[in-house]
Amino acid sequence: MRNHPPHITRRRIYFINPRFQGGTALLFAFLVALGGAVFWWRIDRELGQALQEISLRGHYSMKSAHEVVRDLLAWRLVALFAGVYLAGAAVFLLLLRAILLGAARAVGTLRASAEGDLSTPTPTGGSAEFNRFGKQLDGARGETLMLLREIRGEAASLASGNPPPEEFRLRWDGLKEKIRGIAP
Amino acid sequence: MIHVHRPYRLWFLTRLGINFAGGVAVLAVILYLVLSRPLPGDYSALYYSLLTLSAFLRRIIAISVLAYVLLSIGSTALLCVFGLHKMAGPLYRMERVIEGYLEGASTRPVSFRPGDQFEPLAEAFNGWIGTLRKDRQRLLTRMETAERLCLQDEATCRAEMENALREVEAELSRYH
Repeated sequence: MRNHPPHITRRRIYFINPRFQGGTALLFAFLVALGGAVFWWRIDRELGQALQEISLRGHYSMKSAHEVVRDLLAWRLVALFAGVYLAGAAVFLLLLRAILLGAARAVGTLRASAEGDLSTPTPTGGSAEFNRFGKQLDGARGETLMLLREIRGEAASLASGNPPPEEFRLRWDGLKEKIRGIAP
Repeated sequence: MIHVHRPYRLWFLTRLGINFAGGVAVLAVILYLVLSRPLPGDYSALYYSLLTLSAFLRRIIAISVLAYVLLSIGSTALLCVFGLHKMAGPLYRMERVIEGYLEGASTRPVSFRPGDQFEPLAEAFNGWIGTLRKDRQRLLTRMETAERLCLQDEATCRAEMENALREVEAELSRYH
């Protein structure tokens, strides 16, 4: 009997960041609910009024109530769609702008780090998610800077301290080990 | 310059529009079905029918708007989950990589999934780690070169090692 290798299927994870994805969904939900509430408030008043007016007028040439309110309803539905969509699109674009601002700042910090600046904090502002990431990044840069300063200090002390040969050799090996710890 | 791909942006905005349009379409259909019922033929029945309809309208509209809200919110929530993971994913990946780096784990070059946004973030991180590794390699090479001279006399060895240490110090002085 042939043994087939097990077929590995990797589940793709979509719901990654509840704060970001869930927060955005909540924002859109608020817009939809707000649009629905405004629509309900307006149409409830206007449709009732239109039907009452037509019932009192007495000249009934329509086959259904829809004929009476068709235009009004159509305009209100178009307004509902346009209002919610435009507000949603604006929210999405603003969100995108904030995220891009945060991402650009993180990229700037990483590029500055490659040039040796490990102490200037990542500028905050824009997206909360990238602010959090910026803090985490600053933590990693701070750790790296501490290690590099430690290595530098040890190298300086060893070069000028004139320790006995045994101690020198031990500290030399220790320094090499520390250097190996840079960006493991 | 960091940016979000234009096709992705357009795709999201189009899907958002489709979601909202779908919700409005359902609302329109419900209201149409309720309001398009044929009215009775005679005068008094029609009069009362219109009055009754206007009295019940509030409830009908409330239910149809509720259906619209639930449908639009549900579909938009799904869009946020399935659409925004292309932005949330890279950030999550970067956070895990930084966590690993802080814990001292071996850091491999970061790459994102196809279609993910923010590639410059991964490139900048890889650039930083690459620079640190080049420096590390240079420092170790310099120290090993000095060690090789220890095969000669003790004084030359010590002098060369001290020179290497000064170079290490100078090399690291660019980090602040």
